[in-house]
Amino acid sequence: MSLRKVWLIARREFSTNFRRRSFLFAAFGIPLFTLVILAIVFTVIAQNLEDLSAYKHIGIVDQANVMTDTSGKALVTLPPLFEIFNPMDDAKSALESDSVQGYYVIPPNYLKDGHIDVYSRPEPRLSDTLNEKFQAVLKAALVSRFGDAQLAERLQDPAKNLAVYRIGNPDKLSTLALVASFFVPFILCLLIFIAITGTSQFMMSGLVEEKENRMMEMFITSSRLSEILWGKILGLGALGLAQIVIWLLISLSFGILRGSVDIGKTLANLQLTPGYVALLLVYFFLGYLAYGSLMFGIGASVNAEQESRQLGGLVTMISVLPFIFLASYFSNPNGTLPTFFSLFPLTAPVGMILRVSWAVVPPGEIALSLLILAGFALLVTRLAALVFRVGMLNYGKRLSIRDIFGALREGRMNRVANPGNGVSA
Amino acid sequence: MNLSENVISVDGVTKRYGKHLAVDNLTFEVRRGEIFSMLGPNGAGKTTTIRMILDIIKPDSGTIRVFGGPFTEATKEHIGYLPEERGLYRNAKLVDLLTYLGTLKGMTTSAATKRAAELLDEVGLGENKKSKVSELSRGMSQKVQFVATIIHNPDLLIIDEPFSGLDPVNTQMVKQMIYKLRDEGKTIVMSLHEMHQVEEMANRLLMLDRGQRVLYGSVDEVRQQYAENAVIVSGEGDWQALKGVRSVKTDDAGRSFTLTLAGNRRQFKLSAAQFRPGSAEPERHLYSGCGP
Repeated sequence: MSLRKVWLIARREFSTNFRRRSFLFAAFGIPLFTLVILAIVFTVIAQNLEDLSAYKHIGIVDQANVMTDTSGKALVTLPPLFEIFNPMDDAKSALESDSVQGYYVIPPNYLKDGHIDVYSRPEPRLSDTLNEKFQAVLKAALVSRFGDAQLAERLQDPAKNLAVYRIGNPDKLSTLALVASFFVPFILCLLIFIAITGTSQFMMSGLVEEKENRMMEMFITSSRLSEILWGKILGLGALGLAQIVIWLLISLSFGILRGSVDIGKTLANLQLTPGYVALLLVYFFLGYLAYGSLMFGIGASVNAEQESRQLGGLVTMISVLPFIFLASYFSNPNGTLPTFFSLFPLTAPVGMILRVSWAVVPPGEIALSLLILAGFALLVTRLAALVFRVGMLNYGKRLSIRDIFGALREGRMNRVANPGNGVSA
Repeated sequence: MNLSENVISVDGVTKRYGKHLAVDNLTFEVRRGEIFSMLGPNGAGKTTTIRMILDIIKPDSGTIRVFGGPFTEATKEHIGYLPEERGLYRNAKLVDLLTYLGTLKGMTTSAATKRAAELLDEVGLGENKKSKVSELSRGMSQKVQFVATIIHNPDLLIIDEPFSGLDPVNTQMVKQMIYKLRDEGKTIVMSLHEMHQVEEMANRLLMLDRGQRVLYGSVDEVRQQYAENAVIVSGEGDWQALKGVRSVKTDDAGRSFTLTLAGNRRQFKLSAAQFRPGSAEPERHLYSGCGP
């Protein structure tokens, strides 16, 4: 096999598909669009959460004397927003005259059953933020009854200063690291999935295009079949990696621009050990090899873009299964279904990375998963090459199962027949 | 590269697809520096033979030698092939596409780019170097395909239907280019349907029918052999009894018959009513140049 020809073909596949509108949209457009939408959504939510300006006054009727004494005097300092009313009729009148937008009633048996009533006007609706503010006031009033300021503070937020440590790391994990340890594997798996399936689709549609354009016969007299196959696999694999890198760079740039990301801190908190990254790359490569070869075989056996998409879609649906059954990972990452997904070759790239991220997986299982995936990828690559030999010149005709088995038989026979007649394509 | 006299040697080659015998014990040679023509009806085995020569498919038996030895990957760089079913990347720019195809044939990028530009000028597409293939007419695309075949200066050209899709002016242009290549010592194998083109251009010819060799030799030899009015047919029946047939010669397999006719060509007409039902189909294998 000529590495030079593999490089030429890989370079062409990369540069041609990099300039495709569909790739540029997937690589740049989708993440930018997603980040802008997320920024808008989070900004609006944050504003709504903090905004209490819609409320002029909120009343409190304390019939249980939790935050007032028997004369009605407040036992704790109330925020200016809240006003004590006694009796309840005063609060009701204030609500009807729009002096207050709502009032909370703490009934006499509150300490027994925790029941509180809220009355409000239709607009503005009493928000969750307002309820949280009221609860903070109520909690402060309840703990002040203990008379122990320190105990009162602990009761307010019992695990306020939670410090998490991981074995092998003497430093405490930050909140960001804790959040990242959950979300990062999910996002990485999603990126791997999109990169693998997206670039495999390019593989398939490129082959169909070459068949439709009748280019194959010219190619096969310039290069070996293995050079064409590996050139396409490597070129499009590099395209998939480029797509992931672009997404990560866009995300980091966005975070830096918003001032919310410290690169050094972020990378340290992501808990991406060299072993983890190496495993990620190995699964990406083997997963892409398996999918890419499958799509190569599909592209070589059909004659129309639409037909190839239908068949390719069936294969892609299988790879989505770990995401569909994500709940099984939450409940038990080493359970039966996650274990199956991490060993079955078509789901292993995503299935195993998710398991390794959220659980301790026996090294033997990881090794077995990699072995199965590697064997499957090589087998599919070999099959795809044989199907390609038969299908590449079958213009206007889809290969039947019989044709494919015929290709397998011919592939086996040609290794022993006419050995002096040149090298097989 | 072995400088043998025969550039291609096909010896006793057979190829079967299931029950269908595509090529049957075929033997012929192509000599260095000649224009060699293959002709025959659709399904005669021409394309299968070409593909076996190019090692795209393997024969079931027999041997094929190219440049005096077995076909290797290095051999590909000395061959230019233009298949019958051909095309180009539609969204690629001409010079980029030709450069890419040239580099696959072992050229450096700069050499391929330079040669692509020269050849595009030669075929009248110099102004279209940066055009996409989709912007070209069919005839212009065919010329580009011819350029792609010769860009790497191959020693052997194999062209299936070289003039397909070309108008008379471009046909003449491509002919002149083929002659020029022949004069440079290249060997050219062409698959054609038109006998008059074979007579005009080829040094030697091979006629195939149902995978078998029907005619083989130099064009002059074939002309002399069939100097009189003759038509080659296949079928069953008493050919001698036909009106207008002077003599009948049978090929070795007894499947095709050369009928030497009385009278001139314009008078020849075989009547289907003279044959028994289900027997001969005289119009089936008529070749211009040997008959009306």
